[in-house]
This record gives sequence, structure tokens and C-alpha cells, in this order.
Amino acid sequence: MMYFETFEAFIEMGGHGFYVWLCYALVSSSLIGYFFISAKSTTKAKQELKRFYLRLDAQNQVNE
Amino acid sequence: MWTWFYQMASAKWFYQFTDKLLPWFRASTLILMLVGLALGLLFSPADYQQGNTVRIMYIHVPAAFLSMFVYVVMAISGAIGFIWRIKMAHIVSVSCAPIGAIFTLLALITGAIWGKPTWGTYWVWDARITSELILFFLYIGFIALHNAFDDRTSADRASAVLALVGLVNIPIIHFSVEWWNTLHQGATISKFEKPSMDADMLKALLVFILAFQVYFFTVLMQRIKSEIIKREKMTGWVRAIVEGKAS
Repeated sequence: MMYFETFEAFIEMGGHGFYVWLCYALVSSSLIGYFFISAKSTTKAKQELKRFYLRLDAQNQVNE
Repeated sequence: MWTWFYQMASAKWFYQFTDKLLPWFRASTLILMLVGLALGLLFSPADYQQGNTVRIMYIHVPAAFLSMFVYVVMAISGAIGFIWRIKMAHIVSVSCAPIGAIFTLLALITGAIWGKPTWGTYWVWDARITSELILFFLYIGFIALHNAFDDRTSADRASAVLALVGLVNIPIIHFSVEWWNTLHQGATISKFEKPSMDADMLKALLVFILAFQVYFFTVLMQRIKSEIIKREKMTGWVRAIVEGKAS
């Protein structure tokens, strides 16, 4: 059974809408944000390593 | 048993293992979060005292629980790395820190927002809240200490010791509501008694706790993957992955 009868009541949350929605907005934006940051960190590391290997190869050629 | 233990310690094996697990964990996180949102916001009643602010509890309690759970994982894997000098254990420990810090901060902020309409104040220096704030500083200290060393091995070992020393704070947070007269209420769910709450509310809370837990393992694996390839950059298998010669 749905608890709220109207959409307005759902938004208002019995006068506490501000507090409830603020919490849900903060938590969901942080969790979603960190999900993408952590997922991207692998891609970023790979790009950095690509450049690193190029430099490494160039250095090795000079040494030869 | 021992082959499994050695496999876990191998960075290459771990990387490929998390690669296989990740899609499943991502999907489960999404489903559990959506179910939790529906249960917490739509299909559960308001509390007779707290009104609708009780819905904040469905995300505040899991965040607070995870803030301690992540710390225990971080400290134990740090200890395993310290004692047996296992590289993978340090990678797990270091990857835990930022995730735990986020959960701790979220627990503190959602608690403060809940406190305003319920207690009439955003903040009180009560034992539970203060010890949770100390937990946040421990995470920040761990990250700062790890970044302070140029040598990675010293960084790993020093921060593992800090994590272990800070472990004493976890039982303090947990039992603070029993040891001291706090404004913060006692535990609602316990292993030994029937939970003192409505069944629909309990469902919402448990689904969110599970959702946060699965979320933690998902982002932990994503962090571990990037940590592994940074540390193992001189190995052939990482180079093969980076240059697209292997998956």
C-alpha cells in the first residue's frame, strides 16, 4: 500500500519535505558521483600509463 | 584453501576476478537502491513521533553502519599487509579510505539534518556524534599520512598502523549510546531481541543496508583496479592491458 495519497503530500512529507529531500539529494548525488569518479580512475590511470610506456620506450632507445 | 589464498594475493588474478564480478555488482547495486527508495519513500508509514523524518533514517543508519564496517575492513586488511607483507592487502586497505570517509560524512550530515526538526538542533557534542566525527578525522588522517610518503612501502606500513590504532574507536562508537547518557537513541535492530519497529520500516532499512553494502564492494573494486595498474605498471600483463593487447 502506498503511504501518500496525493503527489503534493509526497513532496511535502507532512511539513518535513525540505529535510527529507535534502538528505536524499545529498546521499544520492554523493554516491552516484563517487561511483563515476572511481570507475573513471581506472581509465585515467590507463591513459597515464600509455604515455609512461611511450617515454620508457623512447628512453630505452636512447640508451641503446 | 591455500591456493585460493595465494590467488587472492596475486594482483593479476585479483584484477581479472574483479573485472568479471563488477557488472553483477553494479546491476545489484542499482536494483537494491531502487527497491530501497520505493520502500523507504512510498511503501512505508510515517513514524508516530518523528513523522516523515523517519525516512531519513533509512539512509542515515546504513551510512553510519558502513562508515564503521569499511573502517574494520581497512584496518584488518592493513594489518594483514603489515604482518605478512602482502601487497594486495595494502591495496585493499588504501582503497577503502576515501569510501569510508564519504560514508562517515554522509552519516554526520544526514544525522544533523534529521536532528533539526526532531531534536531542535543540528549538532550536539554527544558521545555518539563526537566519536563518529573522530572516525571521519581518522579517515582523513589515514589518507593524509599515506600521501605524505614518497616511498609506497613506508606509506602502506605507516597508514596500516594508524588504521589499527584507530580501530579502538569502533567499539566506542558502537557502545557510546549504552555507556553514556547520550541524546542519540540506542540501537533499534539487535541480534538478540525482536526489532522494536514496524515491519515495513524494517524492510526499507534492511534493503538499504544491503544496497549500501553492495555499493561499497562495487566502488571498492573499481578503486582497487586503478590502484593495481598504477602499482604494477612495470609488469608485462598491465602493459598488455593498457596497450589493448589483452582485455
